[in-house]
Amino acid sequence: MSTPFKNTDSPTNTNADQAKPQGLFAEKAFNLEKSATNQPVATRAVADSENTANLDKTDALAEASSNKTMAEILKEAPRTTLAMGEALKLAVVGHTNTGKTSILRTLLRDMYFGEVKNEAATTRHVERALISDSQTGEALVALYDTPGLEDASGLMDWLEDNTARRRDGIERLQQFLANDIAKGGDERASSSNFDDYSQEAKVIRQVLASDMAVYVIDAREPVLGKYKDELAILSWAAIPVMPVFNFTDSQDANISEWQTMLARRNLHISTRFDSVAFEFNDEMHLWQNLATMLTHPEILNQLIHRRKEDWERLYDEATIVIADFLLNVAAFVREIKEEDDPMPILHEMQEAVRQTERTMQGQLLNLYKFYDNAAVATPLELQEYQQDPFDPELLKAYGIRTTSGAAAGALLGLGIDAAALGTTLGLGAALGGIAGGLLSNTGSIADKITGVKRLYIDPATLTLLATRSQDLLTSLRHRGHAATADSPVAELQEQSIAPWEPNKLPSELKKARGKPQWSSLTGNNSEQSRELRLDAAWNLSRKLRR
Amino acid sequence: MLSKQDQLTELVRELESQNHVFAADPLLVTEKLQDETATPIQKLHRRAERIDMNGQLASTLGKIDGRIKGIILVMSVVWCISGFVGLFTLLQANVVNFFYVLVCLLGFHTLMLVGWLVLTIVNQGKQSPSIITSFISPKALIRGKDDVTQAAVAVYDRQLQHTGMRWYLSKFSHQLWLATLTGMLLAIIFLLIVRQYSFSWESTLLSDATLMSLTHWLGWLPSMVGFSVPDAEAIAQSRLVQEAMPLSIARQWAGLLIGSLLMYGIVPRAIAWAFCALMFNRKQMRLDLKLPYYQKIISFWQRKVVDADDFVERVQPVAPVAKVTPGHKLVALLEYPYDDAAWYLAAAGEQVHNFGILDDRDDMDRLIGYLENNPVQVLLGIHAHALPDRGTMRKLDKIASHAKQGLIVQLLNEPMTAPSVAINNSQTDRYQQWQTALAERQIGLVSA
Repeated sequence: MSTPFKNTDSPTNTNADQAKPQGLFAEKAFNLEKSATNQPVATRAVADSENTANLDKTDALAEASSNKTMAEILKEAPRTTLAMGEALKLAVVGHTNTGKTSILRTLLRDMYFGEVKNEAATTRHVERALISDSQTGEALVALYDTPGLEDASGLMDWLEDNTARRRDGIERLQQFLANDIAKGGDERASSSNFDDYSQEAKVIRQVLASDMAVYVIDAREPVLGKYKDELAILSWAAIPVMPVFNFTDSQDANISEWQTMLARRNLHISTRFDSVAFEFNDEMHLWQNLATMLTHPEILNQLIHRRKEDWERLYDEATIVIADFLLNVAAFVREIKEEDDPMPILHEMQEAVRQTERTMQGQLLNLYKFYDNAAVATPLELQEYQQDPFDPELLKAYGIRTTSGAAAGALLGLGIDAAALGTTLGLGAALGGIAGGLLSNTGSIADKITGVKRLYIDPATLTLLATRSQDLLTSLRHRGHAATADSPVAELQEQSIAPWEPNKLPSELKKARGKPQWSSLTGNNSEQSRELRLDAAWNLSRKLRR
Repeated sequence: MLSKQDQLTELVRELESQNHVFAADPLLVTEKLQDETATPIQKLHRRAERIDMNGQLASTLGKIDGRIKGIILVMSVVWCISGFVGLFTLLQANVVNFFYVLVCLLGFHTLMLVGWLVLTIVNQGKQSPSIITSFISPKALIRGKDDVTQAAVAVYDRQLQHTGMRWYLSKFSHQLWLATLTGMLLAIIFLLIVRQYSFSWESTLLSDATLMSLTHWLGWLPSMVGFSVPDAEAIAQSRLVQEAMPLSIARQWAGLLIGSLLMYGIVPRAIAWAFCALMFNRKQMRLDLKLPYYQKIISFWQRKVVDADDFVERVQPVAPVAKVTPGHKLVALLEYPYDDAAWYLAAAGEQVHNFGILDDRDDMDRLIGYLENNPVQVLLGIHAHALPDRGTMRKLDKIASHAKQGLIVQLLNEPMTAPSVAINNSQTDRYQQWQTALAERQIGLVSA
């Protein structure tokens, strides 16, 4: 300790007597303890005293500021580095109302995380959310949702006025955190509204404690001075920062302007990630870009690997759910006497198919963690089902033509195939030809003798159901969890191409026609019938992939 | 046990949780029931009935109920016959050892009754005994293959687990005992009608006096209800009888036998049976309406928008209307550029100093410097999409404190390209946020 101003990192090493740091006003912010006479005591001086700026102002501030030493502050907020077996701490920061919480919702697949509103300062707390390995349960990434930065320019003014330029960024930020203006709530001494930087302090505190930060940009915004100030302050924290563009829909002009500005601040990698119109590849890019910034990207690589696996598996499961549903409907058969009125039975069958479709939709939504069914466009209003799968208009809208018209006869438009294997052999043969061997022979011969009519769900309706389910699945795969719960699944309204021609049903569905025991709609044991159609469902699911 | 309607409601719940396909769509039925006036429980019952449009669920429940009742009936008959046959074999000889027969008739029965009484007092409020439960468990009786039967069996099984069920099961066991005792009574009456018996008594360990007083005490209750019981002389004569005894004495003994069976067997059992029936009715199982499933439905029925929301909120608080001073003016755009270069003309006229865009901190310093030296009123054009966040408002405050002629604000709307409801809503929201923020600071707003 050659000079009185030499660094004494240990707070126990008091040098109150030797230190009369008249010129070291800046260090007064770190009084070891307030003496009764308000004599400032330097406990930490990094360099010799050549600091001259803003003497009076800082002096006054120092009096008001906390009486902690820099060492204590550093101890309280230790700079952590990524250790093995520890989750990567990732702070999500940005200007207010840029959709930080929305991005977290989408990344977490949790539509109930936090609160989202179109106004300033919706989130006022820092909230941690863990992303775990879905197989091992090991925590991979800890995301921190932070309040929005609202007044970075004001904070920058303060930092320039009150902290020494020769200090490094972290030290200047620590100095700010130790100051009264960084305190919120009851801790605050003064009540002036405009020196309140408690929200910014929360963000900075979290950024200093994190391994990386994601800086969320509303791509609809032009590059403004306040955003530059925000980036400058973040750069002081000396952790890798990844700019992420939210609300990217047709905002290319703004984004290139932003990218130019970011590049001038040494942020050459940025990512597009729309929290509402979700793209899985965008998310992978985000993680990959973050991984490039780390010296040990193993944990992020593990996350990427797992997320890809999960995404693929989810798609598999979803297509199997759809295939299972289609087989269930295809195998659905009801028998009536030749002379009976088919209408009551037809209505029962339609009702059963509607309920089954809704159940399937619910399964898909739950699979993708959308837990409120208001999002599905299946109307449940009193008047009618607007998108009734048995509505002939809907078939037209999907471009599906009913080809089995000749056979279905009077039942056309009801979505039910009648295999009338009645009195004349000629008719039976004709039907056999049209139905393309859909019926098992034993059944038909027995039916011919007993005069039974069999009612099926017709191929056009099956095709429509398949198309609709695929549409729902596609839209779920592109729906971010930040989408508001009551906004309808958009793609459901769009009509896309049917996976097959109605007269060329996949072999599994054709086979299902001859297996009434595959259907749980006829009141069989649903578990047993599900097991019976399991293999076929797996095969059919391959054909449903887009 | 649940009532019939409750059972159906529970069955619907059970099946709905398994995504069963019903005859009628539960969601539609629920929606239609919203407008009907009835108590929630009535509506739940109605809902279940309508969902079970074709009566399939009710018939399945009826089938199980019928089967359980049938089994109870068959068992009662079997027990009755076995009692009859048992006594028939016991009374083969013409000379009957009275006490031996009495113990055979009532001994085990009395032990069981006392045991039941003790267990009932000890196990108050506990689960029903599992042995008897498994005895008439529908799972053992009905092998359901389809979903509905399995669910119905599950509903029945759940009822068997209920506390009130112990009374039902006790009632059932009393009923079997009553059947047995009735069978015995019928057998005795039948045999006494068609045969003549001599009643004797004997003992190795007990003295004659003890047995005589025992007989006397035993006869007290039957004699109360009018049965003729043997008097002291008849008892003395009956000791170690080997052949036919006088008919009057035999009749007295027969009266005692029947009376004992009735008063010490059937009547206590019947009382216990009635008690159990009473307790079972008091502990009637009810639908657990606290379940989330029912709560969801009930709360859906309870709320309804009677008068649609057509309220247009008045912007409160309203920012003061800007007062344009006659002096010099400075106009500036806050942060965001605006297409219309002459946006300020309507509010401030042409004689203005146009500062341009006020964005970063250098601009701010420049503006403040200008304001220090020139007494002007500042008109700030703010993009209507901009957020009135803390940073923006701090800038406004700073300008207001330096502008000697005051600060007024004009919100600049984007020319509407594609007016949609969502955009409109968000604009109205933002406009209100600005009104509030400006009103708080008493900064004038130029009306658009």
